[in-house]
Order: sequence, then structure tokens, then C-alpha cells
Amino acid sequence: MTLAVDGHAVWLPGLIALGVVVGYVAGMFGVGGGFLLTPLLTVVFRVPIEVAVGTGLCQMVGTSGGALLRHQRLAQGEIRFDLLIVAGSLLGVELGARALGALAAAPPMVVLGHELSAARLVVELLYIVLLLGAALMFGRDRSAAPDPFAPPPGPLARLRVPPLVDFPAVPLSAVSATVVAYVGLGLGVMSGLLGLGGGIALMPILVYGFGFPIRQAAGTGVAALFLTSATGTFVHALRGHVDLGVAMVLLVGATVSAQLGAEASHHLRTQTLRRLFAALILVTVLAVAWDLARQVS
Amino acid sequence: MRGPLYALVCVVVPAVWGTAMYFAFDLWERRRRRVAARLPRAVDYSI
Repeated sequence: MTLAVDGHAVWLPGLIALGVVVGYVAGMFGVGGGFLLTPLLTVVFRVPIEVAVGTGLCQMVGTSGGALLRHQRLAQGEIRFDLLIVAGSLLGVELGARALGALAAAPPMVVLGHELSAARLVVELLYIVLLLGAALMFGRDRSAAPDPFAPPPGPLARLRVPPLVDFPAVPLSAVSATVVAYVGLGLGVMSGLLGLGGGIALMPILVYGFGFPIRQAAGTGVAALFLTSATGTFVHALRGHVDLGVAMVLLVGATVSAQLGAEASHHLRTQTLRRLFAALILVTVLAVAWDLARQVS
Repeated sequence: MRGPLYALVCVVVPAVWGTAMYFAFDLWERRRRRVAARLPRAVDYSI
């Protein structure tokens, strides 16, 4: 029972199990799960990194689309902020996808006498650095965290680079549209290059960088996640980096298990959830580091 | 390289699936609440 992905045979039951696990994690922690999906597709299933990135984004379109509808019904999120983020991320996704395409076409790099794919080496190293940072942030004790319902404006909200705009739904006033668009650009590059939807990076930026209340950050983040992953899927699919069959197999398991994950999260304390999330990120880092070490040994 | 039609399908198909699942789970949740509301109230035996 295998599925052919870019000339590689992928074990179908394993792929279904991966979708179920990623969906459960996404539902439990309120993230897209891209940080788990892309590395595991490469490390465990040997899917080429550029195909793993594109396919992961394609799967994320489905999961974030459903989450977006749920947040819209609850009237959470600031659509003007999303539009500014997307203005930057559209460009960023294209830049990220081009960079990944160039790395995939580049000749192999020689590390410690072993030839390694340039794309895989760069993406895995970036994953290790980004995920270690995220694990440290989420694992830290947040006893001095801002008020989740009415936090003060964060450092990014205080930058006065014109033009300035108001976000009454948050509420935040006189926020630099330029800064928001550049955050979107960074998010887009991350998405196009690494297949990360942004749950790992965008949520902390919204809460601690801009001072969004948690609920508004979740609603705003998921809209940006949907639009960025849709754009990322489109540009990667044009380059032949999306396997729709694999994405749908992952998505079917993920949509069901995400409901179970969200249900399970209600029975756990916030601090326990944070620590579990940090532990999960660390396990992913170890898997990626092991894969890199295996290639050079 | 793939055509723009394939790229569009890669965006539309998962988005439609996500939307369909949202409505399916919403319907299931509503039905569950309706059934729970119809159940007789538990008898309180406390003194």
C-alpha cells in the first residue's frame, strides 16, 4: 500500500497516521501543524523537501479554511490587519518559493566529505534554529505575561512609521501599516521557503509584538494563515512542488482528529499545554538534527 | 512545471474540503446539543 510521490514510494497507512497526528496537534494547540508536517514528510517518508513544503501548504489550506469560518462566526479577528499582512506575504511567498526552487536546482553541497542536497541542508538548519527559538519561548514560565483580555500595545505597535492605521476590533490605534506589511513579508518568506503557516511565529508576534488579546490574535492569525497558505500552494503548484493526492490523504485524517485535539485541550491547563507544545517542538528539532547527522556520518 | 489550472485545483479542492468539514461538524454539534436538551433533567437526590 504505497503512493508514488515524485518517484518515491510512500507508505499509505503511515501517511494517514501522520495526518491524524498533525491534525490532533493542530487542534490541541491551535496551530496549523506545518512545523511538524514538513520535517516529518522529509525525515520519515523521504519526500523531497520542496514537495514536502508545497504539499504541507496545500493541506494547510483545508485545515485553516475550516478554522477561519469558525473564527468568522465568533466575530474574532481584525480583517484590516489581515489585508495588510497579506499585502506583504504575497510577495514573501513568491520570494520564498523562488529561493527554495533555486536551492533545489543548485548542485549538492559537500559537508564533512558527504554530498548533501542544498535545499534540504538549508531548510533543515533553518528549522532547527526557528523551532529551538519557539520551544524556548513557549516553554518559558509566563507568570508575568500580559493581560490576555486587554494587554498594553506591544513594541511593534509603538513604531511610528507612516502611514498609521487604526484597528478598532483589537482595539489598537495608530499602528504602522508599513511594519504590518513587513511582518507579512517575513511570514510569506517563511511560508514559501519552509512550509510554515505562521502559527509558530505569527501568534507570538501578534500577542507580544503588537499587543493583541489572545482571542483576537487567534482569529486574525488564522485568516492570514489561510490566505498565505493558499498563495503558497498556488506558487508551489506552478513549480510542480504540490502532490494533491498526498495533501488530501493528510487532510482527511487531520480534519477529523483536529476536533478530538480541540476537545482534549479543554481538559488541560494552559501551562501544561504550553509545556507539551514546547516538548513536541523539541522532539521535531531532534528528528531534524538526527536526519542531518545521519546524512553527514 | 505545472499549469495554472492544476495550481488552482490544488487551492480549491482542500479549501472546499475544509469548508465542507466545518459545516458537517457544525451540524453534528448542533444535533448533539439538541439531543442533550431533550433529555430529562437529572433528579437531584441531595437533601
